[in-house]
Amino acid sequence: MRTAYSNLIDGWFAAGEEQPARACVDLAVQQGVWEQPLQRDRDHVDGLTAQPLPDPGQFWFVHHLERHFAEISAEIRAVLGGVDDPVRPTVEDDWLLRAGSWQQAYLFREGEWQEDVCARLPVTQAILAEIPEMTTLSPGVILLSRLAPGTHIMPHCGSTNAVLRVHLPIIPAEGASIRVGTETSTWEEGRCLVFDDSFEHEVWHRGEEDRVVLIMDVLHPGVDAAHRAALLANRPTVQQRVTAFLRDRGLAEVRVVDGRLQCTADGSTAHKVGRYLDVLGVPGVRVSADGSWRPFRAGVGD
Amino acid sequence: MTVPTPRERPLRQFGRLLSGHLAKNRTVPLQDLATSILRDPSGGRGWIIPAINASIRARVALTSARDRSVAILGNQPPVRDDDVPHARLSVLCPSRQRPGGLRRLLRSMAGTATHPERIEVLCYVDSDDPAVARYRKMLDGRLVTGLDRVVLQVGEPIGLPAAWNALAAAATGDLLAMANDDQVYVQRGWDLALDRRVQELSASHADGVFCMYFDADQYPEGSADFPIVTRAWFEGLGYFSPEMFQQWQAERWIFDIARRLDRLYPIAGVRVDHLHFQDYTAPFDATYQRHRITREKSLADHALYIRADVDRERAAQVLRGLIDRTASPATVTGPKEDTMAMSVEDTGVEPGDGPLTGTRGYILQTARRHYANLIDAWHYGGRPADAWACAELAVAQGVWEHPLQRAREYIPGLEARPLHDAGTFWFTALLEQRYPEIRAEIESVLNRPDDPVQRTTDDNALILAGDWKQAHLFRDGAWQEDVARHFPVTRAILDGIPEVTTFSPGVITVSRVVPGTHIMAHCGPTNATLRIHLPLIVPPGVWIRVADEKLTWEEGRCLVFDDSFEHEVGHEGDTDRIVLILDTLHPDLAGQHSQRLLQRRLTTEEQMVAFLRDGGFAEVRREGDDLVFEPEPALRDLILRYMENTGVTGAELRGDAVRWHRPAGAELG
Repeated sequence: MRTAYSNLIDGWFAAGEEQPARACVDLAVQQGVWEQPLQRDRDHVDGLTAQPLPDPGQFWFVHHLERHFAEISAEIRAVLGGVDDPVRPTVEDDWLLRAGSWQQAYLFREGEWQEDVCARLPVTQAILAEIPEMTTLSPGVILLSRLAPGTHIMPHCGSTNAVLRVHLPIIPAEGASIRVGTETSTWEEGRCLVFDDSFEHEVWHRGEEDRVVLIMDVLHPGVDAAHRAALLANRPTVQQRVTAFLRDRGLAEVRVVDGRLQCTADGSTAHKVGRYLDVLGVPGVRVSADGSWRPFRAGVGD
Repeated sequence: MTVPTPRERPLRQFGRLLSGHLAKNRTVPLQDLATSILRDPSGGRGWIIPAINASIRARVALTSARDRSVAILGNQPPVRDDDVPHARLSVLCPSRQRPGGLRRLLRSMAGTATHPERIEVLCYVDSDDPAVARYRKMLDGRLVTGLDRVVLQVGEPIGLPAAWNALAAAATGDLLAMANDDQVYVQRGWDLALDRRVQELSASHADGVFCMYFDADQYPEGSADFPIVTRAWFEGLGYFSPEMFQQWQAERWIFDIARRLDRLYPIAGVRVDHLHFQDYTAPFDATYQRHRITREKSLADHALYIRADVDRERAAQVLRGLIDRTASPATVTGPKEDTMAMSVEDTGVEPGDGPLTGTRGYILQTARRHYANLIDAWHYGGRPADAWACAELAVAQGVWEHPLQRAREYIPGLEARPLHDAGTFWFTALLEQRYPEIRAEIESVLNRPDDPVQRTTDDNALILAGDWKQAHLFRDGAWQEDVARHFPVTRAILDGIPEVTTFSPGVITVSRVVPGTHIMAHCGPTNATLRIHLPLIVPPGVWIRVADEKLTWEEGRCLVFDDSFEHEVGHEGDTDRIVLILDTLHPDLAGQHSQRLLQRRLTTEEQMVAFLRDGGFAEVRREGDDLVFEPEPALRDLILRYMENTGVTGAELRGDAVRWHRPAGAELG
């Protein structure tokens, strides 16, 4: 229900139709889908303290990060804009972008360090590795986020209230601001900002230079042990990813044969694709990136 | 479309257009350039088109005078007038913004025909044509042409193919000729050449089924233009022009059918000029630009033409049947009148009532999809009051017009009624007449070991209780051979109804609902189609609710409803309910919408490519009994890396469990 409503509301916001979006929010709250109109996460955990901007001082790792800020900042600044700058235009969050440009580089996700990015940020990685809340016990991601002047990220809510988001501003940039719930704040170089991204938030950059922030996720401190275990277990393992790969595609089996990957289909997929091949009267096909295909001939390798 | 860079100077653009006087330079980018100037003559470009048109007129005046003298000198000896019967000829000519062109055509025909009094010209002019008053004035009796009659039909802008059909329906001739207002008849006595050819062909083809064209060697090998068909052809086929194309596949379609029948005949030596801007024989004007063949459109049409091969073969078979029946002395029966009427009725909605385009339309379509999912979720969760609240909010926000009609794809302006009178569709009478055969065949297949009617996978999410079995005989514009082969009689009957096959945007499905089933309240995906139920076996205790009306089926009596309205099905009886489901385009849909809907149908190839690409596969092939898939490189590398990380060489999915292969044979999880 929350997902269906979120899609609808996001759709209106994405179209710049704020009024219909708010009307849908009000109806959803009236129907008991969410408790309050400004906190609309899809996976909501009941009973957690709901504060748009919790006090950063209560988290030990905030002090740790601020203490090491100079090293982190120096390393990141050195990498930015270089020939192998890993910060690239966002693909997954692109739809939130009303105007401007949003670039990201993931250091950590789904429980794993992302080696290609981390290789360029060894100091930062080492400092973060000392914070289990953000790594081994993190349900979320660590990423570098760069916003160009003129950017507007539309109002949206994160997926769950069980996770808090920590921003370490590397280049805060004058004129950039973030609204969380009803409160608007700005970034301050080297000073962590902690917010609950299940609250509706929106970002503008009306300044003149790129804004760069290191973003980290941590569990909400109110999440109990059982729930924490469940959330962490939800991080997909390699086995789960392989399983999902098979299941999503209707495959029965995958195996490595002479360094090549071969998959066989399950019954219904085999029936469907088998029928395609029968209709076309070919023993197999190859498709190209442009969508064209040609018959596969036995014995012709690539 | 290629638009010239704004920096290119007008003089240079003029130069490029001038170069089109040489045939080798007449490229698509050149036409694109002319289009762009016609649409936006600003930036000092206003003089270019008039100048280029003047040059074209001058050239045409020179060359056509030469060509005509050659044509007249090369004329065959005149046919003796009383040698041949004079066929009555109907010339079907849609026209737009060119009363002058039409006058030129009429005068040229009247002036060169030996017997103009047996020619009728039927003109279709769009009601929104700025020149409509001039057409009326010109054709309202004052124009003395010597032709038998010139009929002006003013109607909705339905596009050329539908206009040809509308004119064909009103035609009274023995022969129907496709025409355009940019043709000029230049050869005296052309009509006697036509008569002579008809006489010859009628002698050898008693059925009268054939197709001709004027051929003065101007066409490349294997090509032709402007077909002339006989009345037997037109009535046998039931339509003059196919309507599914956006552009010019109509002639090609007719000629292709004629070739399949081996009934395509040139009328040799007769020249009809076709003045066309593509050939630099007509000025560039707004009408050409309106109908211009863009590459996108022509590719889409080409693809559709290829994939509609089966439909042309069917058409050829219909005519072949007519030919065979004439050869043997059996009588011809069947609802031909009604089949013809179909093409004519497909005229259309008011201009401006089309789907919203651009951003607003896109936003609404997106909102419809999200709202529909949300409302479905409430229904599925058993909370209809909450579903209703959402539907009402959606209507208040302008997403739909009625809370009970919630199609994800919604075309505003179509008549919106939950139930339609089955009697307004000619083919419901045919279905009801043939109901015993259809029922007998389907009944005989049910419960056999190879019964294709199996649990639905498509509509699984709609079943609150019970079981719903389906088999699609037809979908994506094609018969599904693995199912349809079980139902040859039904298929043959339905093949005679283009509205539910050739021109169907949807499916033909045998639907079987078992006792105890409850299919939740839901709306169909689009209001562009209507759904027809031919109830085959209806036990007591079954019902369907469409919007506010709850009703039940009656065996052998068609029910026509708009499934974009909320509907719900229940079965409280004791034995299975069997219905044959058919889809047809909403009768208010104009040509353009129906073309778009028909083009959305996917061929097997397209479905296969979509499946492989969605799954990230580069290749699939048979190996023994198995189908082997190879992922595309990026996905392959990712999965290989996962497997390397965990040291496995393979994984097998067995229901919910996974079996891992390790090099040493050890197993995990």
